[in-house]
Amino acid sequence: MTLPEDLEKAARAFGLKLRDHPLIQEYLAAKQKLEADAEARALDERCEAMRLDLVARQQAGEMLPRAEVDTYYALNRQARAHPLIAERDRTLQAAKAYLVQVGQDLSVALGVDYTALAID
Amino acid sequence: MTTTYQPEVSVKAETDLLAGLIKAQPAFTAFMKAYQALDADQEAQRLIQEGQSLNSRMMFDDAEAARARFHEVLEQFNQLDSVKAYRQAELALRELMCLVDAVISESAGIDFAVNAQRRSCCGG
Repeated sequence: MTLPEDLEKAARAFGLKLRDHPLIQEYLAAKQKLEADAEARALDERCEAMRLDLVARQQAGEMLPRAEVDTYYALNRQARAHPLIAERDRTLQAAKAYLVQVGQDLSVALGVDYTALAID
Repeated sequence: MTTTYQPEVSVKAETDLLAGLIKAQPAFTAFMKAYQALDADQEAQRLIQEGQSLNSRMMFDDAEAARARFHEVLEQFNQLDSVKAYRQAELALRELMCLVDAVISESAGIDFAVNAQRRSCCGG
């Protein structure tokens, strides 16, 4: 399926308008700073990879070894304490609060829950 | 001290235009039609209510019997034409919405639908 041209244009314009919002701009700037720092990026990626692995195994029914969970928590604390990761997290939360409101407004305009339908 | 005024960025016009164009899509109108048909299907609604009742009962003494009956009800529900039509229409609408969201997210520089989800008070 491909989108009709007018719908794709409208979706693009909508996205670009979101991007203009100060909260999205702050998040993008923080994200860029994090990605430009090799050490911070590696820490962030390692932590996220570990989290996804543990979640997948737990959902598959595995009893996660306590030591592994503790290792993850320690790594997560280290990541959250890194200034660039903390700034990215802070600005992402602020951006989310804005996007939740925009999502609700779009759902009201549609008459259906947009996020419930648009997530794979 | 000088303060800099930052005008609020309103996305209302873009929201209204986008919503209007989505609602004009065949997948959307087909979904709304299928939803209304399912809502009007008395047998489907009866089975939904029975299923909800059995779901509650599964926590109590006759859990085994309730669970067995629940599976029967679910099987009957899945066979209804209105249910099959609704699921097919929902699948098509989901495909459309995912495509729309991919375009929005690429332009915005941030995943839109994923980050626009409301969380419950329990963090779910």
